[in-house]
Amino acid sequence: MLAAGAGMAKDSGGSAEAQVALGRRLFHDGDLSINGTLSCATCHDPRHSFADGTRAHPGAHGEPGLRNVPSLVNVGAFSPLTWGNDALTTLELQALVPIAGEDPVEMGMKGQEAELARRLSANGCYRKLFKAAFPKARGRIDFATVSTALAAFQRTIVSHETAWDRATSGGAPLPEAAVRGEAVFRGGAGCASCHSGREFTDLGFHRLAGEPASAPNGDFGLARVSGRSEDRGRFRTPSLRNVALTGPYLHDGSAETMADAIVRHGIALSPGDAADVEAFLDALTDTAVTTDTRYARPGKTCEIS
Amino acid sequence: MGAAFDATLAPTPKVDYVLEPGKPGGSVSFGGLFAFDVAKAGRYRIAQNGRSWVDVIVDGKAVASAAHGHGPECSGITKMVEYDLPSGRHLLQIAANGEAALTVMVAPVR
Ligand code: HEC
Ligand code: HEC
Repeated sequence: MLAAGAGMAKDSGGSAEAQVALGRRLFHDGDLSINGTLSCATCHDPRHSFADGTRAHPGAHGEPGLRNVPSLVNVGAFSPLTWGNDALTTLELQALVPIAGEDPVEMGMKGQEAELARRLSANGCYRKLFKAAFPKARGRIDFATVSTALAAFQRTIVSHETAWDRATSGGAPLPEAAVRGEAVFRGGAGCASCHSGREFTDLGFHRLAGEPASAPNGDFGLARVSGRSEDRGRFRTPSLRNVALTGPYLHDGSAETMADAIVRHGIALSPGDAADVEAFLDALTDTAVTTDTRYARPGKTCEIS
Repeated sequence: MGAAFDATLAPTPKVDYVLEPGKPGGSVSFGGLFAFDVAKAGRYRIAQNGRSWVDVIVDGKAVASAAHGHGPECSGITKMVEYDLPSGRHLLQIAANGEAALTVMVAPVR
Protein backbone atom coordinates (compact mmCIF):
# COMPACT_ATOMS: atom_id res chain seq x y z
CA MET A 1 0.00 0.00 0.00
CA LEU A 2 1.14 3.55 -0.63
CA ALA A 3 2.07 5.80 2.28
CA ALA A 4 -0.94 7.05 4.17
CA GLY A 5 -0.96 10.77 3.80
CA ALA A 6 -0.25 10.66 0.08
CA GLY A 7 -3.08 12.66 -1.33
CA MET A 8 -3.38 14.52 1.95
CA ALA A 9 -1.20 17.43 0.96
CA LYS A 10 -4.28 19.64 0.71
CA ASP A 11 -2.97 23.07 1.48
CA SER A 12 -5.95 25.25 2.26
CA GLY A 13 -3.97 28.46 1.79
CA GLY A 14 -2.75 27.29 -1.60
CA SER A 15 -4.06 28.72 -4.81
CA ALA A 16 -6.00 26.23 -6.88
CA GLU A 17 -4.87 28.07 -9.98
CA ALA A 18 -1.20 27.68 -9.05
CA GLN A 19 -1.73 23.97 -8.35
CA VAL A 20 -3.22 23.48 -11.81
CA ALA A 21 -0.45 25.44 -13.55
CA LEU A 22 2.15 23.48 -11.60
CA GLY A 23 0.39 20.19 -12.32
CA ARG A 24 0.36 20.92 -16.01
CA ARG A 25 4.11 21.62 -16.04
CA LEU A 26 4.80 18.44 -14.09
CA PHE A 27 2.52 16.40 -16.38
CA HIS A 28 4.67 17.36 -19.38
CA ASP A 29 8.06 17.08 -17.65
CA GLY A 30 10.41 14.19 -18.43
CA ASP A 31 12.23 14.82 -15.13
CA LEU A 32 9.49 12.83 -13.42
CA SER A 33 11.17 9.73 -14.84
CA ILE A 34 14.50 8.26 -13.78
CA ASN A 35 16.36 9.04 -17.03
CA GLY A 36 14.34 12.03 -18.19
CA THR A 37 12.74 10.15 -21.08
CA LEU A 38 9.11 9.79 -19.99
CA SER A 39 6.61 12.39 -18.90
CA CYS A 40 3.01 11.61 -18.07
CA ALA A 41 2.19 13.16 -21.46
CA THR A 42 4.46 10.70 -23.32
CA CYS A 43 1.88 8.01 -22.58
CA HIS A 44 -1.13 10.27 -22.01
CA ASP A 45 -0.67 12.53 -25.04
CA PRO A 46 -3.30 15.29 -25.15
CA ARG A 47 -3.22 15.07 -28.97
CA HIS A 48 -4.35 11.42 -28.73
CA SER A 49 -7.07 12.24 -26.21
CA PHE A 50 -4.54 11.51 -23.44
CA ALA A 51 -3.80 7.99 -24.68
CA ASP A 52 -0.90 6.99 -26.99
CA GLY A 53 -2.09 4.79 -29.84
CA THR A 54 0.07 1.79 -28.87
CA ARG A 55 -0.86 -1.54 -27.26
CA ALA A 56 1.22 -1.01 -24.16
CA HIS A 57 3.85 1.67 -23.65
CA PRO A 58 7.29 0.56 -22.38
CA GLY A 59 8.76 2.02 -19.18
CA ALA A 60 11.70 4.43 -18.92
CA HIS A 61 14.35 1.76 -19.60
CA GLY A 62 12.22 -0.12 -22.09
CA GLU A 63 10.58 -2.36 -19.47
CA PRO A 64 7.64 -4.00 -21.26
CA GLY A 65 4.29 -2.34 -20.55
CA LEU A 66 1.48 -4.52 -19.26
CA ARG A 67 -1.71 -2.59 -19.96
CA ASN A 68 -3.11 -0.26 -22.59
CA VAL A 69 -2.90 3.46 -21.76
CA PRO A 70 -6.37 4.80 -20.99
CA SER A 71 -7.58 8.27 -21.98
CA LEU A 72 -7.75 10.78 -19.13
CA VAL A 73 -10.76 12.80 -20.29
CA ASN A 74 -13.12 13.42 -17.37
CA VAL A 75 -10.84 11.32 -15.16
CA GLY A 76 -11.74 13.56 -12.21
CA ALA A 77 -15.15 11.86 -12.22
CA PHE A 78 -13.68 8.35 -11.86
CA SER A 79 -13.03 6.27 -8.77
CA PRO A 80 -11.59 3.72 -8.49
CA LEU A 81 -8.89 4.30 -11.10
CA THR A 82 -7.05 2.12 -13.61
CA TRP A 83 -8.16 -1.11 -15.28
CA GLY A 84 -7.94 -3.26 -12.22
CA ASN A 85 -7.36 -1.77 -8.77
CA ASP A 86 -10.32 -1.00 -6.51
CA ALA A 87 -8.01 0.51 -3.86
CA LEU A 88 -6.77 3.35 -6.08
CA THR A 89 -9.56 5.71 -5.19
CA THR A 90 -7.98 9.13 -5.79
CA LEU A 91 -5.89 10.78 -8.49
CA GLU A 92 -3.40 11.74 -5.77
CA LEU A 93 -2.80 8.08 -4.91
CA GLN A 94 -2.81 6.99 -8.54
CA ALA A 95 -0.08 9.45 -9.64
CA LEU A 96 2.47 7.63 -7.49
CA VAL A 97 1.89 4.40 -9.41
CA PRO A 98 3.52 5.51 -12.69
CA ILE A 99 6.13 7.62 -10.84
CA ALA A 100 7.32 5.05 -8.28
CA GLY A 101 5.54 1.81 -9.16
CA GLU A 102 7.38 -1.42 -9.97
CA ASP A 103 4.63 -3.61 -11.39
CA PRO A 104 5.45 -2.72 -14.10
CA VAL A 105 8.19 -0.08 -13.84
CA GLU A 106 7.03 3.01 -15.72
CA MET A 107 8.86 6.19 -14.69
CA GLY A 108 11.21 4.30 -12.36
CA MET A 109 11.44 6.84 -9.50
CA LYS A 110 10.98 4.49 -6.55
CA GLY A 111 13.20 5.73 -3.72
CA GLN A 112 14.09 8.83 -5.75
CA GLU A 113 11.97 11.42 -3.94
CA ALA A 114 15.03 13.49 -2.97
CA GLU A 115 16.40 13.30 -6.51
CA LEU A 116 13.06 14.51 -7.89
CA ALA A 117 13.13 17.44 -5.45
CA ARG A 118 16.72 18.20 -6.49
CA ARG A 119 15.83 18.29 -10.19
CA LEU A 120 12.70 20.38 -9.80
CA SER A 121 14.14 22.84 -7.30
CA ALA A 122 16.98 23.62 -9.72
CA ASN A 123 14.33 25.40 -11.78
CA GLY A 124 13.25 28.84 -10.57
CA CYS A 125 9.80 28.58 -12.09
CA TYR A 126 9.09 25.39 -10.15
CA ARG A 127 10.30 26.99 -6.90
CA LYS A 128 7.82 29.84 -7.39
CA LEU A 129 4.97 27.57 -8.45
CA PHE A 130 5.42 25.17 -5.52
CA LYS A 131 5.46 28.16 -3.11
CA ALA A 132 2.26 29.60 -4.59
CA ALA A 133 0.55 26.21 -4.75
CA PHE A 134 1.60 24.99 -1.29
CA PRO A 135 2.25 28.00 0.95
CA LYS A 136 1.65 26.13 4.22
CA ALA A 137 4.20 23.50 3.26
CA ARG A 138 6.47 26.42 2.26
CA GLY A 139 6.68 25.14 -1.26
CA ARG A 140 8.04 21.76 -0.21
CA ILE A 141 8.79 19.51 -3.19
CA ASP A 142 8.03 15.87 -2.50
CA PHE A 143 5.86 13.04 -3.81
CA ALA A 144 2.82 14.35 -1.90
CA THR A 145 2.90 17.89 -3.32
CA VAL A 146 3.81 16.62 -6.80
CA SER A 147 0.89 14.17 -6.85
CA THR A 148 -1.51 16.79 -5.44
CA ALA A 149 -0.60 19.23 -8.22
CA LEU A 150 -0.86 16.51 -10.89
CA ALA A 151 -4.31 15.61 -9.57
CA ALA A 152 -5.42 19.26 -9.65
CA PHE A 153 -4.39 19.51 -13.30
CA GLN A 154 -6.02 16.22 -14.27
CA ARG A 155 -9.33 17.36 -12.75
CA THR A 156 -9.37 20.16 -15.34
CA ILE A 157 -9.34 17.67 -18.25
CA VAL A 158 -13.04 17.88 -18.99
CA SER A 159 -14.65 16.89 -22.27
CA HIS A 160 -18.37 17.11 -22.94
CA GLU A 161 -18.32 18.77 -26.37
CA THR A 162 -19.50 15.89 -28.50
CA ALA A 163 -22.25 15.60 -31.10
CA TRP A 164 -24.08 13.37 -28.61
CA ASP A 165 -23.86 15.98 -25.81
CA ARG A 166 -25.13 18.66 -28.20
CA ALA A 167 -28.00 16.46 -29.37
CA THR A 168 -29.06 15.59 -25.81
CA SER A 169 -29.07 19.24 -24.80
CA GLY A 170 -31.38 20.29 -27.61
CA GLY A 171 -28.81 20.92 -30.36
CA ALA A 172 -28.53 19.35 -33.80
CA PRO A 173 -29.85 15.78 -33.80
CA LEU A 174 -27.47 12.88 -34.37
CA PRO A 175 -27.24 11.22 -37.80
CA GLU A 176 -29.86 8.47 -38.16
CA ALA A 177 -27.38 5.60 -37.93
CA ALA A 178 -26.13 6.98 -34.59
CA VAL A 179 -29.70 7.37 -33.32
CA ARG A 180 -30.41 3.73 -34.21
CA GLY A 181 -27.07 2.74 -32.66
CA GLU A 182 -27.94 4.47 -29.38
CA ALA A 183 -31.23 2.57 -29.27
CA VAL A 184 -29.36 -0.74 -29.72
CA PHE A 185 -26.76 0.33 -27.13
CA ARG A 186 -29.41 1.17 -24.52
CA GLY A 187 -31.84 -1.55 -25.54
CA GLY A 188 -31.37 -5.12 -26.64
CA ALA A 189 -27.58 -5.20 -26.66
CA GLY A 190 -27.42 -4.13 -23.00
CA CYS A 191 -24.25 -2.08 -23.43
CA ALA A 192 -25.59 0.66 -21.16
CA SER A 193 -25.87 -1.71 -18.21
CA CYS A 194 -22.09 -1.40 -17.84
CA HIS A 195 -21.28 1.63 -20.03
CA SER A 196 -23.78 3.69 -18.06
CA GLY A 197 -24.35 7.32 -17.13
CA ARG A 198 -22.85 10.47 -18.54
CA GLU A 199 -19.35 8.96 -18.73
CA PHE A 200 -20.51 5.63 -20.14
CA THR A 201 -19.03 3.60 -17.31
CA ASP A 202 -20.41 2.04 -14.12
CA LEU A 203 -16.82 2.06 -12.75
CA GLY A 204 -17.43 -1.58 -11.87
CA PHE A 205 -15.27 -4.64 -12.64
CA HIS A 206 -16.50 -7.21 -15.15
CA ARG A 207 -15.18 -10.12 -17.14
CA LEU A 208 -16.40 -10.04 -20.73
CA ALA A 209 -18.44 -13.11 -21.64
CA GLY A 210 -16.02 -14.14 -24.37
CA GLU A 211 -12.80 -13.60 -22.42
CA PRO A 212 -10.69 -16.10 -20.44
CA ALA A 213 -10.01 -15.70 -16.70
CA SER A 214 -6.27 -15.68 -17.37
CA ALA A 215 -5.21 -13.50 -20.25
CA PRO A 216 -2.32 -14.52 -22.55
CA ASN A 217 -0.12 -11.81 -21.00
CA GLY A 218 -0.65 -13.23 -17.50
CA ASP A 219 -2.76 -10.27 -16.34
CA PHE A 220 -5.38 -11.50 -13.87
CA GLY A 221 -7.17 -8.16 -13.74
CA LEU A 222 -8.74 -7.21 -10.42
CA ALA A 223 -7.43 -10.49 -8.93
CA ARG A 224 -3.89 -9.06 -9.13
CA VAL A 225 -4.73 -6.85 -6.16
CA SER A 226 -7.65 -8.67 -4.53
CA GLY A 227 -6.14 -12.14 -4.72
CA ARG A 228 -9.64 -13.58 -5.15
CA SER A 229 -9.99 -16.16 -7.89
CA GLU A 230 -13.46 -14.89 -8.84
CA ASP A 231 -11.86 -11.55 -9.76
CA ARG A 232 -9.68 -13.12 -12.44
CA GLY A 233 -10.24 -11.54 -15.81
CA ARG A 234 -12.34 -8.72 -14.36
CA PHE A 235 -11.45 -5.23 -15.52
CA ARG A 236 -13.01 -1.85 -14.85
CA THR A 237 -15.50 -0.78 -17.49
CA PRO A 238 -13.76 1.89 -19.58
CA SER A 239 -15.53 5.15 -20.41
CA LEU A 240 -16.49 5.30 -24.08
CA ARG A 241 -15.92 9.04 -24.48
CA ASN A 242 -13.47 9.67 -27.32
CA VAL A 243 -13.24 5.92 -27.84
CA ALA A 244 -12.87 6.51 -31.60
CA LEU A 245 -9.56 8.32 -30.88
CA THR A 246 -7.98 5.89 -28.42
CA GLY A 247 -7.35 2.60 -30.20
CA PRO A 248 -6.07 -0.03 -29.82
CA TYR A 249 -8.58 -1.29 -27.26
CA LEU A 250 -9.19 -3.40 -24.17
CA HIS A 251 -6.94 -3.68 -21.12
CA ASP A 252 -4.07 -5.19 -23.10
CA GLY A 253 -4.58 -3.26 -26.33
CA SER A 254 -5.29 -6.54 -28.11
CA ALA A 255 -8.30 -5.25 -30.08
CA GLU A 256 -7.15 -3.16 -33.04
CA THR A 257 -10.53 -1.62 -33.85
CA MET A 258 -13.74 -0.68 -32.06
CA ALA A 259 -15.45 -3.47 -33.99
CA ASP A 260 -12.90 -6.01 -32.66
CA ALA A 261 -13.41 -4.70 -29.11
CA ILE A 262 -17.18 -5.07 -29.39
CA VAL A 263 -16.95 -8.60 -30.84
CA ARG A 264 -14.76 -9.61 -27.88
CA HIS A 265 -17.72 -8.93 -25.53
CA GLY A 266 -19.42 -12.09 -26.79
CA ILE A 267 -22.65 -10.13 -27.37
CA ALA A 268 -24.27 -11.12 -30.66
CA LEU A 269 -25.08 -8.12 -32.87
CA SER A 270 -26.34 -8.20 -36.46
CA PRO A 271 -23.90 -6.53 -38.89
CA GLY A 272 -26.34 -3.64 -39.29
CA ASP A 273 -26.68 -3.13 -35.53
CA ALA A 274 -22.92 -3.34 -35.09
CA ALA A 275 -22.39 -0.61 -37.71
CA ASP A 276 -25.06 1.55 -36.05
CA VAL A 277 -23.50 1.10 -32.61
CA GLU A 278 -20.17 2.22 -34.07
CA ALA A 279 -21.84 5.29 -35.56
CA PHE A 280 -23.18 6.05 -32.08
CA LEU A 281 -19.73 5.61 -30.50
CA ASP A 282 -18.30 7.96 -33.15
CA ALA A 283 -20.77 10.60 -31.92
CA LEU A 284 -19.00 10.49 -28.53
CA THR A 285 -15.90 12.12 -30.07
CA ASP A 286 -14.65 15.50 -28.84
CA THR A 287 -11.66 16.64 -30.89
CA ALA A 288 -11.59 20.08 -29.21
CA VAL A 289 -10.06 18.50 -26.11
CA THR A 290 -7.12 17.21 -28.20
CA THR A 291 -6.13 20.70 -29.36
CA ASP A 292 -7.09 22.69 -26.25
CA THR A 293 -4.08 24.85 -25.38
CA ARG A 294 -4.85 24.56 -21.64
CA TYR A 295 -3.64 20.96 -21.75
CA ALA A 296 -0.70 21.36 -24.13
CA ARG A 297 2.91 21.44 -22.99
CA PRO A 298 3.50 24.86 -21.42
CA GLY A 299 6.14 27.12 -22.96
CA LYS A 300 9.32 28.31 -21.26
CA THR A 301 7.65 31.42 -19.84
CA CYS A 302 6.76 30.81 -16.22
CA GLU A 303 3.13 31.28 -15.14
CA ILE A 304 4.37 33.28 -12.14
CA SER A 305 6.79 36.17 -12.43
CA MET B 1 24.94 7.56 -45.24
CA GLY B 2 23.89 3.95 -44.87
CA ALA B 3 26.38 3.30 -42.07
CA ALA B 4 25.66 3.39 -38.38
CA PHE B 5 27.39 6.08 -36.37
CA ASP B 6 27.86 6.35 -32.64
CA ALA B 7 26.53 9.69 -31.53
CA THR B 8 27.61 11.32 -28.30
CA LEU B 9 24.73 13.36 -26.98
CA ALA B 10 24.82 16.33 -24.63
CA PRO B 11 22.72 16.94 -21.51
CA THR B 12 19.39 18.38 -22.67
CA PRO B 13 19.81 21.80 -20.96
CA LYS B 14 23.02 22.31 -23.00
CA VAL B 15 21.46 21.53 -26.39
CA ASP B 16 20.39 24.43 -28.58
CA TYR B 17 17.56 22.86 -30.52
CA VAL B 18 16.67 24.45 -33.86
CA LEU B 19 13.01 23.66 -33.24
CA GLU B 20 11.29 22.72 -30.02
CA PRO B 21 11.47 18.89 -30.22
CA GLY B 22 8.18 17.00 -30.42
CA LYS B 23 9.21 15.47 -27.12
CA PRO B 24 11.88 17.50 -25.29
CA GLY B 25 12.84 15.15 -22.43
CA GLY B 26 13.70 16.22 -18.89
CA SER B 27 16.84 18.04 -17.74
CA VAL B 28 18.52 14.69 -16.99
CA SER B 29 17.96 13.37 -20.54
CA PHE B 30 20.30 13.77 -23.53
CA GLY B 31 20.02 15.20 -27.03
CA GLY B 32 21.94 16.59 -29.97
CA LEU B 33 21.95 17.98 -33.50
CA PHE B 34 23.64 16.35 -36.49
CA ALA B 35 23.85 17.38 -40.14
CA PHE B 36 23.55 14.75 -42.86
CA ASP B 37 23.60 14.86 -46.66
CA VAL B 38 20.99 13.38 -48.94
CA ALA B 39 22.38 12.94 -52.46
CA LYS B 40 19.19 11.68 -54.03
CA ALA B 41 15.64 12.64 -53.01
CA GLY B 42 13.55 9.73 -51.74
CA ARG B 43 12.47 7.84 -48.66
CA TYR B 44 15.02 7.49 -45.87
CA ARG B 45 14.93 5.46 -42.69
CA ILE B 46 16.44 6.63 -39.43
CA ALA B 47 17.10 3.71 -37.13
CA GLN B 48 18.47 3.81 -33.58
CA ASN B 49 19.27 1.50 -30.69
CA GLY B 50 17.46 3.79 -28.20
CA ARG B 51 14.03 5.35 -27.85
CA SER B 52 14.95 8.96 -28.44
CA TRP B 53 12.67 11.43 -30.15
CA VAL B 54 13.82 12.21 -33.70
CA ASP B 55 13.03 15.31 -35.74
CA VAL B 56 14.35 15.76 -39.27
CA ILE B 57 14.62 19.43 -40.17
CA VAL B 58 14.59 20.59 -43.77
CA ASP B 59 14.79 24.33 -44.42
CA GLY B 60 14.01 25.11 -40.81
CA LYS B 61 10.87 22.96 -40.67
CA ALA B 62 10.29 19.55 -39.13
CA VAL B 63 9.38 16.94 -41.75
CA ALA B 64 6.35 14.78 -40.94
CA SER B 65 7.31 11.11 -40.64
CA ALA B 66 6.06 8.79 -43.36
CA ALA B 67 6.17 5.54 -41.36
CA HIS B 68 7.54 4.11 -38.15
CA GLY B 69 8.21 0.77 -36.59
CA HIS B 70 10.49 -1.46 -34.56
CA GLY B 71 13.58 -3.17 -35.83
CA PRO B 72 13.71 -6.92 -36.34
CA GLU B 73 13.84 -8.92 -33.09
CA CYS B 74 17.40 -9.06 -31.66
CA SER B 75 18.78 -6.63 -34.25
CA GLY B 76 19.54 -4.08 -31.51
CA ILE B 77 17.40 -1.58 -33.42
CA THR B 78 14.62 -0.42 -31.16
CA LYS B 79 13.06 2.35 -33.21
CA MET B 80 12.84 3.28 -36.89
CA VAL B 81 11.21 6.28 -38.48
CA GLU B 82 10.95 6.97 -42.21
CA TYR B 83 10.86 10.32 -43.99
CA ASP B 84 10.45 11.48 -47.57
CA LEU B 85 13.36 13.85 -48.07
CA PRO B 86 14.60 16.18 -50.82
CA SER B 87 18.29 16.18 -51.68
CA GLY B 88 20.55 18.51 -49.73
CA ARG B 89 22.04 18.93 -46.28
CA HIS B 90 19.49 18.40 -43.54
CA LEU B 91 19.49 18.33 -39.76
CA LEU B 92 18.81 15.39 -37.51
CA GLN B 93 17.61 16.52 -34.10
CA ILE B 94 17.67 13.95 -31.31
CA ALA B 95 15.93 14.54 -28.00
CA ALA B 96 14.84 12.80 -24.82
CA ASN B 97 17.39 9.97 -24.93
CA GLY B 98 18.09 8.17 -21.67
CA GLU B 99 21.89 8.00 -22.17
CA ALA B 100 24.65 10.07 -23.76
CA ALA B 101 25.53 7.25 -26.18
CA LEU B 102 23.25 6.43 -29.09
CA THR B 103 23.85 4.51 -32.30
CA VAL B 104 22.01 6.00 -35.26
CA MET B 105 21.77 4.99 -38.89
CA VAL B 106 20.39 6.94 -41.84
CA ALA B 107 19.75 4.76 -44.89
CA PRO B 108 17.71 4.95 -48.09
CA VAL B 109 14.59 2.74 -48.16
CA ARG B 110 14.54 0.67 -51.33
C1 HEC C 1 4.70 4.37 -19.50
C2 HEC C 1 3.40 4.94 -19.80
C3 HEC C 1 2.71 5.76 -18.73
C4 HEC C 1 3.19 6.86 -18.07
C5 HEC C 1 4.56 7.50 -18.20
C6 HEC C 1 2.11 7.33 -17.24
N1 HEC C 1 1.02 6.53 -17.39
FE1 HEC C 1 -0.80 6.81 -16.52
N2 HEC C 1 -1.39 5.01 -17.21
C7 HEC C 1 -0.64 4.17 -18.01
C8 HEC C 1 -1.27 2.87 -18.09
C9 HEC C 1 -0.77 1.67 -18.85
C10 HEC C 1 -2.44 2.95 -17.27
C11 HEC C 1 -3.39 1.80 -16.93
C12 HEC C 1 -2.73 1.10 -15.77
C13 HEC C 1 -3.52 -0.01 -15.17
O1 HEC C 1 -4.70 -0.14 -15.45
O2 HEC C 1 -2.96 -0.79 -14.37
C14 HEC C 1 -2.48 4.31 -16.76
C15 HEC C 1 -3.52 4.80 -15.96
C16 HEC C 1 -3.57 6.11 -15.49
C17 HEC C 1 -4.70 6.68 -14.80
C18 HEC C 1 -6.03 5.99 -14.52
C19 HEC C 1 -7.07 6.42 -15.53
C20 HEC C 1 -8.42 5.78 -15.30
O3 HEC C 1 -9.29 5.92 -16.16
O4 HEC C 1 -8.60 5.13 -14.28
C21 HEC C 1 -4.35 7.96 -14.46
C22 HEC C 1 -5.20 8.97 -13.71
C23 HEC C 1 -3.00 8.16 -14.93
N3 HEC C 1 -2.56 7.03 -15.58
C24 HEC C 1 -2.26 9.32 -14.72
C25 HEC C 1 -0.89 9.41 -14.98
C26 HEC C 1 -0.03 10.47 -14.49
C27 HEC C 1 -0.47 11.64 -13.64
C28 HEC C 1 1.22 10.20 -14.95
C29 HEC C 1 2.52 10.96 -14.68
C30 HEC C 1 2.91 11.03 -13.28
C31 HEC C 1 1.15 8.98 -15.74
N4 HEC C 1 -0.14 8.52 -15.71
C32 HEC C 1 2.22 8.43 -16.41
C33 HEC C 1 0.53 4.49 -18.64
C34 HEC C 1 1.35 5.55 -18.27
C1 HEC D 1 -20.76 -6.64 -18.57
C2 HEC D 1 -20.44 -5.24 -18.72
C3 HEC D 1 -20.29 -4.72 -20.16
C4 HEC D 1 -21.23 -4.72 -21.16
C5 HEC D 1 -22.63 -5.25 -21.12
C6 HEC D 1 -20.60 -4.08 -22.28
N1 HEC D 1 -19.32 -3.72 -21.97
FE1 HEC D 1 -18.00 -2.83 -23.21
N2 HEC D 1 -16.54 -3.13 -21.85
C7 HEC D 1 -16.73 -3.65 -20.59
C8 HEC D 1 -15.43 -3.91 -19.98
C9 HEC D 1 -15.19 -4.51 -18.61
C10 HEC D 1 -14.47 -3.54 -20.94
C11 HEC D 1 -12.95 -3.71 -20.81
C12 HEC D 1 -12.67 -5.20 -20.97
C13 HEC D 1 -11.22 -5.58 -21.09
O1 HEC D 1 -10.36 -4.74 -21.27
O2 HEC D 1 -10.93 -6.79 -21.02
C14 HEC D 1 -15.20 -3.02 -22.09
C15 HEC D 1 -14.60 -2.47 -23.23
C16 HEC D 1 -15.33 -1.91 -24.27
C17 HEC D 1 -14.72 -1.20 -25.39
C18 HEC D 1 -13.25 -0.89 -25.54
C19 HEC D 1 -12.95 0.44 -24.89
C20 HEC D 1 -11.51 0.71 -24.66
O3 HEC D 1 -11.18 1.88 -24.40
O4 HEC D 1 -10.66 -0.20 -24.70
C21 HEC D 1 -15.75 -0.85 -26.23
C22 HEC D 1 -15.62 -0.08 -27.53
C23 HEC D 1 -16.96 -1.32 -25.65
N3 HEC D 1 -16.66 -1.95 -24.45
C24 HEC D 1 -18.22 -1.19 -26.19
C25 HEC D 1 -19.31 -1.90 -25.76
C26 HEC D 1 -20.54 -2.05 -26.52
C27 HEC D 1 -20.81 -1.41 -27.86
C28 HEC D 1 -21.36 -2.84 -25.78
C29 HEC D 1 -22.72 -3.40 -26.19
C30 HEC D 1 -22.70 -4.19 -27.39
C31 HEC D 1 -20.66 -3.16 -24.54
N4 HEC D 1 -19.42 -2.59 -24.58
C32 HEC D 1 -21.20 -3.89 -23.51
C33 HEC D 1 -17.91 -3.92 -19.99
C34 HEC D 1 -19.10 -4.11 -20.69
